[in-house]
Amino acid sequence: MNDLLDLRALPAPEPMERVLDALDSLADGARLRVLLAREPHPLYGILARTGYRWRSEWQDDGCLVTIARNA
Amino acid sequence: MRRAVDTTRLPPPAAPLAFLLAAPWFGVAAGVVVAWHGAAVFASRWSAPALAAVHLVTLGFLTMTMAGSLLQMVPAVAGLPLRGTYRLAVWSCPLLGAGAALLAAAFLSGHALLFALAGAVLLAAFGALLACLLPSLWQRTRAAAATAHIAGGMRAAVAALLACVVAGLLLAGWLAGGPAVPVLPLVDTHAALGLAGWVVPLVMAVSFQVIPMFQATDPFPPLAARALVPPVLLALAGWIAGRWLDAPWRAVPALAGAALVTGYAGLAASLLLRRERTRTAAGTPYWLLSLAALAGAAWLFAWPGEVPDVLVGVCFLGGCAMSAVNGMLYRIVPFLVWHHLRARLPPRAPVPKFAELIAPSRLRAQCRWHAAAVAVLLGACALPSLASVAGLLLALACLRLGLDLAAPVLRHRHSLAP
Repeated sequence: MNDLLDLRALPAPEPMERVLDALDSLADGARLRVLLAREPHPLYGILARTGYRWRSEWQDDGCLVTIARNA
Repeated sequence: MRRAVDTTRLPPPAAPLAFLLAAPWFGVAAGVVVAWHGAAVFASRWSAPALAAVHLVTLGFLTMTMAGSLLQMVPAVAGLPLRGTYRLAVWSCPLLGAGAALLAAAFLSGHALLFALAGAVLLAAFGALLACLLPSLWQRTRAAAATAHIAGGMRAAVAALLACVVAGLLLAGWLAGGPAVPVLPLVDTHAALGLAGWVVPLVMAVSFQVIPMFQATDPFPPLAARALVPPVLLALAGWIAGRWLDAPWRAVPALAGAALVTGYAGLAASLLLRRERTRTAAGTPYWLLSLAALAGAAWLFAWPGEVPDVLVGVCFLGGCAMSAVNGMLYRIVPFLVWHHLRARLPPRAPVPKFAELIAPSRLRAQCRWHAAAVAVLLGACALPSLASVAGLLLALACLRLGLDLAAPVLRHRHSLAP
């Protein structure tokens, strides 16, 4: 799943809920890319604990976070 | 503008939750006082039951919530780690509650000893709270650039709280039989610092974060978010100076303050009303009621002419401050519970959806009860025979709030335990 999930319009903490739901169905080797209105600090702790790695970068229109399962 | 909430810096959820869960019950108590004493509450701002109800709301409901929220938001939103005696600060919750109850009992009974006790307990409560908040807000670590204006609003509010507490303790000391004080200007200063210095800047600063975050609006324009709070404080300082000089020109800073908060209210309302999605979101009616009452109370206060003080107080405390706090409690408490469950439970463990912790229908129902209470409280300013019904409605609205907030915490208490 390499499509971009735009979650900027959702109220907190729905974007985090959507990301965690999407990760449950993420195929091996696939990446999840999400665009958020704010940097998801609370998500990072959960990702680290559950075996994912991520990269985040700020763009003009929001925070782009790319998530993949640890190798 | 980047909207950053760093929840990895949060204190243990039990600390702020204790404040946030206790607050509604002081709203219930205030409603009971109003219902029990009826028309006497609305006779004058100086009536004993009015003073008791006001301090149950301002200390027990508003300050309790705002103190708990600050312990959460100073590190999480402003990015400033809690300094000082954090473990002592959690004691300000029971001390603040006991102080509010003692002060209400002192006003109702008139006993000097109760005023002395209330003053001593509240001194301990605010001492414990400020010993943590002051070094946390004024530390060398700089607030995150994106939220520096929110940290600035928090600093202003806490500074005003400190001055308000000093004035309040001087008055409590006088009522306890202590040294004489210039009562009339000191009471007005105490009220102005508490309402326009502590509540308004903090509600404004926090709303710059929580309205876009929880109502999913566009962010506030950065310039407006940075520029709105300082002139409100300047207007407050001008009005207080004019009050001590008994100068008629104090109407000018009052009118300027009213214009400023009306500008803020209009801006926030325009963000909330801009889209169908945010217009109809659970929680938006609380904000709209709060913003309308803020502008209404400010103009009632500032407009030249005789406006009953009680009407201004009801409009501000019930309409503006309690509405905003009700709405925020319904977002912040389940957020704390949800985040803590997500962070603590094993990876595959089922975690309830945020919306399942407190159903949006419960928010909407409580908002209707609260709005009805505010409407009848305002009506009671003109028709005091409505006073007991108004108090009963306020107590019932706060009871619903207290039960709704407690439900998810009790349901998940084992997972939330430290």
